[in-house]
Amino acid sequence: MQTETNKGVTTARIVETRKLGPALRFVLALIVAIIVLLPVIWILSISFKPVEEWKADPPTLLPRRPILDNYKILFRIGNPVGTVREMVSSAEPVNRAFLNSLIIAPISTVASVLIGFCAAYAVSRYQVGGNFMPFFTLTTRMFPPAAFAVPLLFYYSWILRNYLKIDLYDTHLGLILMYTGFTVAFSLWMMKGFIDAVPRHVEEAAILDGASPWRVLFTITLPLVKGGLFATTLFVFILNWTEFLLALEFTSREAITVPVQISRYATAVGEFYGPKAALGIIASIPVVIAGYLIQRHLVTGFTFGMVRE
Amino acid sequence: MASVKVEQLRKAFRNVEAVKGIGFAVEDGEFFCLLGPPGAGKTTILRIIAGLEKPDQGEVYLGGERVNDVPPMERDVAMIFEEPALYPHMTAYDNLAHPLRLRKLSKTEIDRKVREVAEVLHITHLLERRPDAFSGGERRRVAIGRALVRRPRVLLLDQPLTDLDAWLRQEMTGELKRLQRETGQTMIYATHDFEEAVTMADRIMVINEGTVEQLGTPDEIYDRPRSAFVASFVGSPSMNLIPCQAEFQDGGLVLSCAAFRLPLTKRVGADLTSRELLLGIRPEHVNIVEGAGEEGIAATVDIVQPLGDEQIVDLSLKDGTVIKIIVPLEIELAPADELMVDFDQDRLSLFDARSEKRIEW
Repeated sequence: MQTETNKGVTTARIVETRKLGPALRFVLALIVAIIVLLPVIWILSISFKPVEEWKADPPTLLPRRPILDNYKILFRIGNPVGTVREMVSSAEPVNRAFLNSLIIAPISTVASVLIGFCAAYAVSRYQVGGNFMPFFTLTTRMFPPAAFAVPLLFYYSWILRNYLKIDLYDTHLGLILMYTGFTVAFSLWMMKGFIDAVPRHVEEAAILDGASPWRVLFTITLPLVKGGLFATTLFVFILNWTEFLLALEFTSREAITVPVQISRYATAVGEFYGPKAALGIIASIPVVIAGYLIQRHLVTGFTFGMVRE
Repeated sequence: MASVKVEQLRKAFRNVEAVKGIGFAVEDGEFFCLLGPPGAGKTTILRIIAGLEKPDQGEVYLGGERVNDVPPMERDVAMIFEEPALYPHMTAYDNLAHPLRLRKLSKTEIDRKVREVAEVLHITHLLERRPDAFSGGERRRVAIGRALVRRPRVLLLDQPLTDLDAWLRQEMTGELKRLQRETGQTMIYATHDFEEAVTMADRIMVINEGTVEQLGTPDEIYDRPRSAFVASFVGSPSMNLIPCQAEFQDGGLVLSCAAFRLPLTKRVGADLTSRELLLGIRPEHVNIVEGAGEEGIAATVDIVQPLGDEQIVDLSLKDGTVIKIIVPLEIELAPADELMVDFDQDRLSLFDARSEKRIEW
């Protein structure tokens, strides 16, 4: 009798969950989506709002009178009036910052991933540096960048400039070197994980087939870690694209990047939300494009079936 | 095709010596088997021949030419690993064509060779597909095909069949043997499975802990194991080893064990009396003595394991020593049955208990 009842209860519960399942899941997904997307919708909305709506009370989710002025202000198109004009005069047009970011972030990303991949291959396949070196690279991430921002600034703007006659302050190269250095540990460790997952025997089989080490690297290993390579690139690119502290510290005018530019839209008169939001939207476009292009490569499907079952 | 010779091979990993001075010669077109338990050094020897590992000491010759300093891609040696190690991002066709493309053969020639090998291995229907869709057996076939397609001077096989189902393993051993006979390919096959070795090999080298225990034909190794290790490692169930001593009695030699005394019927050349011995007898060379009053060794049946038309029977002797015997299924036995057994003295092996080496007698 007992078991009979238990069985009945279980069946009922299963049916219940099954019925509830999709609805519940939809509601949960919706809540998560709202939490995740709200800031995005909010910033998108603000970027189209006129100045009086930025801090309207009660706040409006959608602009009552959508305008493109915030975007125009960024690029100094047209003639803004009133307070807006006053605020705008304090910030450079966004073109230069955008161009700087488009130079600095991709170059340092490619450099970081390239160096990281080579290092990871050496560490994974030839145990270069033993157990210590790969771990040691992580020390660059073990204290906050603020801790070495000041000493580095001293180094860049004093020692290098005065004694070696190299001026890296407020230059593309200065930021590229720093970004490469700070992200290379991530590149190394991410790529090491992906390379470790390629069975050695696969490479050895290729060597015995008659392929040179370089050929093995390009025709066997690289295609197999392609997904990982793209994932690492995207990850490092986002880090470099959004980096703020070092960019703020090491640039003043010539080499400022988008995150620094965003911070410039604030004056004594007040926060400059509209253009800030507009620049935020523009700044996320390259990342979205990069993510979209890379997306289909992120599937690491090829590793399936290589391992012994 | 080429012969292979290694001399005085030594290799250590960190502080562990994997290979301790091994030497052997494989003839051109021979199917040579390295047989030993896991960790015996089989894989290391194959990897050294392939050039994937550098020996600490010793010489490797392929076709009479010393190849110690020839890099692996130029040795023209193929190796099949324990895992099939196919290129997962290439179709089976591209996997097979890979070594040929590296040799810059023409497209038509590559196509002809790939299809020829695929035909032989029954994988033609797989050619356009990627390895992740293959079964274990199919992957292995493709791996073998990739090794054979370029007719390497030597084909090394490192336990290629270990994780396959029994029936598939049997099929593959048969096929490998057939392939070897048809192509005359020199093959060195490492395994820990004696049955695999026996069914395929022309000669077997038994190794243990990096040293050679015995080198000979399968029959030699089975019938005349050179050491107690070979005796116990080879065969299933393995040879019974019973400690004993030799004594003179009534002008003949008698082997005296804890449970029984066995008068030797043959004349003995070697001096047996001065040392501790191990008596070795294979399970199938123990006979049950029929009829009362016959001479024999008293034993009690412990466990009976039927095995098709035979049965493996565990017998415990008077002192508790357990021996295994194989007898036809027709003999009806049940646990606790009392019976008498007799050893086939022509098939008896004797080992020195201390050195564990075979004593010829």
